[in-house]
Amino acid sequence: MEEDLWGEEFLRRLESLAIVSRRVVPGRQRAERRSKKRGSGVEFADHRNYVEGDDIRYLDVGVYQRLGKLLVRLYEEEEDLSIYFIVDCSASMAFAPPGASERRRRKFDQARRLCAALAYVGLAGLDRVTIVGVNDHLVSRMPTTRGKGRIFRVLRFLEELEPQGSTDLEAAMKTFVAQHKRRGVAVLLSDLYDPAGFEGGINVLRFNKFEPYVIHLVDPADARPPLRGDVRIVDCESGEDREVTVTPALLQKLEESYEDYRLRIERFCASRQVSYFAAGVDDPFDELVLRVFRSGGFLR
Amino acid sequence: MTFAGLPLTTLLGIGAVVGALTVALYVLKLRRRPVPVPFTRLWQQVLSDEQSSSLFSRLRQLLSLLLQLVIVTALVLALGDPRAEGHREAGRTFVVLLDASASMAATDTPPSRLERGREEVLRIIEGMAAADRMLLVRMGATPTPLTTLTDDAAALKSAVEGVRTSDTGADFEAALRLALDALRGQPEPEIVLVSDGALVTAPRGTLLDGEDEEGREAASGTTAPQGAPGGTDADPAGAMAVTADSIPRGAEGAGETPEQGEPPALRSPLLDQAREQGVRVSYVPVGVGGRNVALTQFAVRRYPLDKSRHEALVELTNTDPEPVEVELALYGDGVIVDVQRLSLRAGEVLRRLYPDLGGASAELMAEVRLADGRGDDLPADDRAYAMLPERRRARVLLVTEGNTYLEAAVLLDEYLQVTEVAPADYPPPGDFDVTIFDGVAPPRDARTGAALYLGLPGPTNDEASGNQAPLEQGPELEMFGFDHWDEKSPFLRWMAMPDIQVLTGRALIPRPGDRVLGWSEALRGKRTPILVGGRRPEGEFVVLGFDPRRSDLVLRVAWPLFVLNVIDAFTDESAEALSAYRTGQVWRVPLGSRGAAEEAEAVPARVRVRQPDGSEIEAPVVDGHAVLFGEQAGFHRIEGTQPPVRFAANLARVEESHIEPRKTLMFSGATPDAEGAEVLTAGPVEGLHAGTQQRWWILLLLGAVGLSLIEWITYHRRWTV
Repeated sequence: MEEDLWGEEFLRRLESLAIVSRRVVPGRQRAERRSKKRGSGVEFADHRNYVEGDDIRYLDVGVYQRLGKLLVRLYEEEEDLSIYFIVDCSASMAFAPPGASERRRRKFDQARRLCAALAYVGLAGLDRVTIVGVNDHLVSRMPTTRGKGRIFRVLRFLEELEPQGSTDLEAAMKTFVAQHKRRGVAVLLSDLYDPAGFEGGINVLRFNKFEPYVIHLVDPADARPPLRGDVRIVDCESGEDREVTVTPALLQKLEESYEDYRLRIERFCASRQVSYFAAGVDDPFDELVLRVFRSGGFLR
Repeated sequence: MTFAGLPLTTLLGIGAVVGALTVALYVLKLRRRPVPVPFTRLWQQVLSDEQSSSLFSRLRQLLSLLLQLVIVTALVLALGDPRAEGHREAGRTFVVLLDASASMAATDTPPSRLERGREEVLRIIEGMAAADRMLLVRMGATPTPLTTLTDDAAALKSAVEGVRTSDTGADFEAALRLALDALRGQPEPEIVLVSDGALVTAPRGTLLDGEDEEGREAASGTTAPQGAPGGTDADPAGAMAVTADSIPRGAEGAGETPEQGEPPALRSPLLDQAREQGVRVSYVPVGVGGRNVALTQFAVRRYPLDKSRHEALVELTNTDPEPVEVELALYGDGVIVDVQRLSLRAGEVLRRLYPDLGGASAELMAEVRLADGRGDDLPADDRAYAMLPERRRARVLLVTEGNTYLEAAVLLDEYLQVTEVAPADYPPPGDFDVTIFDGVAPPRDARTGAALYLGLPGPTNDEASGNQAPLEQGPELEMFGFDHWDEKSPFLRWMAMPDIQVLTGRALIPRPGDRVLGWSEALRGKRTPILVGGRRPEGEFVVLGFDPRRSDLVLRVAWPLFVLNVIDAFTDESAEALSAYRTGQVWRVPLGSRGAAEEAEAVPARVRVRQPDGSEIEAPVVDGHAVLFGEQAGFHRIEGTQPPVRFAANLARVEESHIEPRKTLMFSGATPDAEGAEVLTAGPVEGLHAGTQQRWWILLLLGAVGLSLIEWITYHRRWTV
């Protein structure tokens, strides 16, 4: 499995991503590392679309007058940027529905691929890259490293991660921020199945001056499990169970409920200027990575 | 409701165990299989919607459990084989006597009374309780059990469907005896008579008086053959002799006492036995009554002195209470001979004689039909059949010196082949059926057949005198006549014996085994044999103790009658032949002449009898006669003899033709019952409950299967989960 995860094709696409990532923001070759510090920098970096919750002081009035579009000005501050990848290692990340033909840990694998790709780009940009695995606490940590040649260390670390345990992002983030005083970009790769609520963990990052990126791992099988009849559903992390008779109507309701949950996350992130990306387990990882880049801010 | 299968306590035990097991399995079924999901909070909204209908869901689940418990209850009840009310543990024992006599073919209750009777029996079968048993008896001329004592409704119904009527009466006496024998020692015995009431019973007290079976049969007329028509000679004028005689209705039914207004009680001494055995007698009447005109007698005979001609006697009976116009047709060998339109008063019995008929050689049939062209309600008695006695040219040898009277007598019958020889030429070459010795008694040759001695030559029998008479002679008699004679002897049929005067003769001394046919009291008032018959190794003989020419016998009509009677009797012609047999009796049908019968090797041990309906039965041959029990009216044909023998049979039972049914049936025993009543009325069958034969366990089983199917469908369609 791991060979498939980190195959030659994957590595080739990683290198390609590193090149492509520089084309995403043309004319920005001077500095290898970037970090967004909105409102505190002096050098204009980029525009991005205004979303609800943005500080209107950063609205580019000139552009609005010329083009009629609401764009927010982003300022860059050249510094030695730290990028933290927080990989959710709870049991739900490895969940495969019963009876599914594919038993692979689809969300966890996709999360690791994305993490590796983004880390490679970061390493290639000489950023300080740190990876931690969390569930209800911080379970593993790869020490901060930099340089493209350390990518194999990253891959090895990701290989050794094992999804298990329940999810408590708030507690895990509290530990994380306590151990990492240097602020930077915090990329959270998780399915956000936190019984206590996904908001707590993100807020801990926000409140501690980290710049959170939320990459939401989405598995369609979670929204529409291949179930039928009388079953007793058991939460794979908490063990909480509930009897239910699964009917097509119920599955439809479940799918709607899942979509509501995802939209709630998206709205939460948007309202708090947190970048949010929904990453389907079946989506090509490189496209996802480019989507992250295109959203702006991750690369400088 | 009662249970014929497992007892209730056992059923309750089984029900409790299986019910508990069902509930346990149901609870296990409710413990659903665990399925891991990544995040149960996603289901919360959905499940909260479901909770709003949880009460209904629980009710549906409860309904599912109740459905299963109902299925279990149905199966447990099926094990108990529940029966409806009316089921009794002890059960009754029915013997159903289903009348299959000729009158049951009446169509007054379409399609027939028998069909109605079948329906009544089927109704009784349907109403039998689980422990009840039944023996079905077909009541014809002889009772025939069709089943064993059984509670198998299917077997009983099958037996009922197979019952057919016969052209006989119903012997209720014999059927009652069979039923009582079958019911001896059985619980709650009951005889159910399904009939129109036209039954044959013995006269009151017949058996109680100690008579034997033969006497009873003779009294009831069951063995008496249908005789030839009355009268002696042909009506010289050839005119129709029509006599009409009103006979009270039912008077000819055996043992009945006709009373105005109500049907007479059936007399049966067996009723006392039934009382002793505690047997209940029920009566299910069938039929509503209708019009019927019956041919109750039909006989034909050849004239003794002109056997090419014959006469027929027909008796018509109008059993209808209204006068009727009828057409009476007579057929000879299939060709219509005579048709007459007749009027019959209510209940009238009309005898009609057809004299001096000719043309037909064998078969005669009479048919009566209503003048309006419509048939009456009982076709079975609308036709009657008869066979003319077979005519055969008998070979007669006259051993005489010359006797004009004798020659004249034998000349009267053109069918005789007469050979005359002098006593010295006896025996001549050739075979003969009968030899008449005219005053001589030479040593007999068996080839010359039976012998008639018209006087014996001398008082002694020895070789010296040349006399070898079959018996010795007694003292000489003078001026005597026949003071006593055997009226039943075929030799003396139709003869007026008292008028004969004899000048001289001799008494005869019969040997043991010989039969005296005529006596004279001329010798000191003592009975002295003067006419003796018997058998010797050479053959049969009849000896007349005087020379006819020494009497006025030769001047009388009795003379040729006597000669021809003897010849006929010896050649079997018309001696045993009956114009028609009567159904419901044992028939002894002669297979040929006596001479031929003696050749045992020529007669097979069994013969096949083709009946009028085309069916064939086998009959044993006893003493030259085919013996069979006759049940069908019409022309029969015996195969296996050369030539084939044909004979006719008729219903000719007036009680069967009276199709007015008895609405009630009263029985009269020899002694009063415990309550002092001598006559009992048989009532309807009581205690029948429709549906008690219903196999509820089958319905319960089917119900359980059906409910299981419903449960399966509703479960998989998520209606009851």
